[in-house]
Amino acid sequence: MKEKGIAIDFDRNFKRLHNIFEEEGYLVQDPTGETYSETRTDYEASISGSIGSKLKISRTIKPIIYQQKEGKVLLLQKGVVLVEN
Amino acid sequence: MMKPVNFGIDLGTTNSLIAKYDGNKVVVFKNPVGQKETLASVVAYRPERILVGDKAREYLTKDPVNVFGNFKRKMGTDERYYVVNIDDNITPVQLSELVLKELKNFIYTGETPEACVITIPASFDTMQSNATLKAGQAAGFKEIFLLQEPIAASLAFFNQFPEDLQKDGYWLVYDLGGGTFDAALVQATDQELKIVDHEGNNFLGGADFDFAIIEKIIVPEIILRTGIEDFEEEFRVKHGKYEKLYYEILYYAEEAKKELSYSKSVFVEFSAELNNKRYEFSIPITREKTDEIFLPLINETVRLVKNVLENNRLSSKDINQLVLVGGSTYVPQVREQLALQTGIPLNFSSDPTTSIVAGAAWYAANKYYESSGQNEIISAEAIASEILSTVDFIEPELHIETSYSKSSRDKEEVLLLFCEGAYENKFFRIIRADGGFDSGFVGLKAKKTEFLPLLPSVTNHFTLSVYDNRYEEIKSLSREISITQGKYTIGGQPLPYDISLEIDDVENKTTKLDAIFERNSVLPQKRTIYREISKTISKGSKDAIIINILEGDKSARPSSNLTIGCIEISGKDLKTDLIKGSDIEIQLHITDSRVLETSIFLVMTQQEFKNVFSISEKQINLERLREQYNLLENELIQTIRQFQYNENDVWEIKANALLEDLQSVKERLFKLKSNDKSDEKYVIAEKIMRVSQASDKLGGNERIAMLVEEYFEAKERVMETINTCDFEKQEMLKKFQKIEQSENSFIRSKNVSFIANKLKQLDDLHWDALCNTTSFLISRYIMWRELPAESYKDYPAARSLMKMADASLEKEKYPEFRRQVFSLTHLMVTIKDNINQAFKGTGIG
Repeated sequence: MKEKGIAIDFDRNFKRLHNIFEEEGYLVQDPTGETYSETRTDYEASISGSIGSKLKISRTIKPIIYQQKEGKVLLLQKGVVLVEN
Repeated sequence: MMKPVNFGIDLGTTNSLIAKYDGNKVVVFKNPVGQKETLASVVAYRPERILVGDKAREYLTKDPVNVFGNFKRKMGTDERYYVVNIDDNITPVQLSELVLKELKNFIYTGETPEACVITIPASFDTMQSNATLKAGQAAGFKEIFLLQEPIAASLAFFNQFPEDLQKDGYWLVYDLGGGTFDAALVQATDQELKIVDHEGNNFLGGADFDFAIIEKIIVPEIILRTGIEDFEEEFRVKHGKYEKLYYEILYYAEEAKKELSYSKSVFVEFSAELNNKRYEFSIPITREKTDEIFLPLINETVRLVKNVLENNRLSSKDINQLVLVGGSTYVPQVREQLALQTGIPLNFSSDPTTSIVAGAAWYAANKYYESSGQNEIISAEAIASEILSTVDFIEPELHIETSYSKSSRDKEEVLLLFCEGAYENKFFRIIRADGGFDSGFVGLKAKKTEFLPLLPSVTNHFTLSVYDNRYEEIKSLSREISITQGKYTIGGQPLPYDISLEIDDVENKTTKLDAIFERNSVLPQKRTIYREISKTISKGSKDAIIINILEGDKSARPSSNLTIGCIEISGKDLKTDLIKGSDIEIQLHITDSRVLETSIFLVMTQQEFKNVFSISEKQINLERLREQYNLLENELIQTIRQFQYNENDVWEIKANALLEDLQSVKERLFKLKSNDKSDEKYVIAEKIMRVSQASDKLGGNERIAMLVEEYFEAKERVMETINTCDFEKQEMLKKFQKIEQSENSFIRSKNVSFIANKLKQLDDLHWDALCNTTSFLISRYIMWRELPAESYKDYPAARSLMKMADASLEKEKYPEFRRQVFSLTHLMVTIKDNINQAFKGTGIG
């Protein structure tokens, strides 16, 4: 029964965890679906397929995490993404 | 003037680093982009820009005609790389030059080193060494000293070692990096190190371990599960159908390898669509299995180590220790096999990533060069040009104008650059301060656009730098660019005031504001906040929690804000009792047209309450209004007393007038019934708000300045007392630091009640600190002991406590004495503030 309760509330609880991180100044970004940019240094990309045509981020293995601290923003974790065309 | 070199550079095949010897330690500089110590030794010539480092590496396998890595191996050859995108040939020396210049950007101290030490592999020949020298000179170093990598590793190793260690004799440096392996025999004599012999394999490193995991474990498992027989073949095909999966698995294999350094087994989990069917994989990988598949690779390194020994007619016993360097020496099997097969004691006290560059910096500390003294002159020039550049960004021959929007609601903002004069063969580069964006070197044109990605809801700081054709920065042309995202834009509607939630400040028996949306946030806004219930509400009771949403200054007291929404949840609405400490989830949504939607969820009772307010309609809770009245009246009385004490007549008269104004509604407020239909309560609420705002403005900036001064004086006093207190010092310090941390925000708020509140917190802390100081306790105690009997609630009990305290004092048992004095204070008759005694608050903490 107890497990069931957790399952029902999973969405709510998960959002809450996400919220706690945001309150602490963490900004978590999932760039999936965005157009790949060679100037974005906040993710490390593995490019599959050939380059040239428009490249899109097809999968995020690790999200990008920024931290806001004393008015400054810091890149805490680079994202790890897969890029395809 | 001779100066020590101090700067060391590890110009590696895959990664490069820069460090400086500083006094008695070595500092490894970090990349301002991404804060990593390492810089990928890769250069990419993209259609419009030149990228150096990690970002360039992403293109390495994809665009080999324009992206170059591993060029260190080609140093000293006549090899030329033809770059399609610039239609020109470049040499390995030019590529190394770019990497070296990029490393110079890591130096945050503002120094421009004229000399440096650059490390080279022990196997480099004269041509290769000279090529490295050339690259260094091209990068702007006047004097360059080359140092062999195994010596650098040994230096780093020996320099961090205790003096009494026996250093003389032979040592073996085992350097297993990401892509290469080096084994060097080092002879140490009287403070001097010499590489006696060297063996290496330029195609053996950590990457090969990852490939082994894929090839020997993951791929067979995939074939077993899916039955796709030609999977392995297809998997290896360049640009094949499994290419995406290949990169994903490569990442997981590397992670698994790292994790297996400290755990016995890991699972590699991923899902993939193969032949139109979705598979979920969870492949177990044990240390046992990897030990087996890594063995052939490790045996190759052992063979090379043994070669070195044999060639020099040495046995394992002649070697002091085998010093491990390079990231791949973290693999446990490497360590086990080396110990087993060589019999030489292992030493892995060096940091595998930084030991080479650290060694270079140690070496640099003892190398001297003739300083041109230009550094000083340059810096003076730089200052002058900096002053100039703030006035106008004009270089004699080049003028750059920028145009961009200072605020934006978009995810990126376009920057326009207009150049006049000699912009040809010059480059610009833009870096975002947090390291998430780097434009690379982009050629200047008469008109140029660059898209700058923005992080949401913050001010994004960028630096625009300009470089000449040698990639040397033209400092006078650099400038800062700041773009604020989301907070303000002409198109969007900004919020004119802070919107806050009123919550209880139980400690001070009052309420305070908790900002939800800040002023100038662009509408619409949505946020969910989580708070705790601060009092138990039983089912069916009249007691209630009040969700009061206010508009105004977030740092002011709640009564000076305007209530724009109020939800009351009383015991009658509850399904079960609501226990203190249980959670409340408050979701607020404010639309473009400033309609406030609230949704409250009580986690304990699983009940949801929804309400929509439009701001034109005021919601007021009468009971809460009365409490606000009391708090404000009390505060005004205190303020008047304070002004009297300070003999500030003018302010006192004004404060008295305010108090009178406030008290004029007192009678009506307390007679009012909750079902009153008139708009009386709104009139009273308005009055309270006005008085409250006026009370904050009393004395204007002068009073704020006084309070701030008082605050700093109090701070000094408190710090002094805490330093001398005898008990609970750490806890006091923590509280002190907490106040200090918020210092900037409350001083900037320029809000009297906010600053006064902090001042009060400091005073309370001061009192706490005094009560934890033995000498103060003694003096107080002596005073209290002489008080007449009527000062105590229970005098006989007090007398017996005093006897005990006297005894403790005589025996110098201060902790006991402190407890007894505290107990005594509880027996004293005190005149309490009655006003706040029955504090009910909002029920939200």
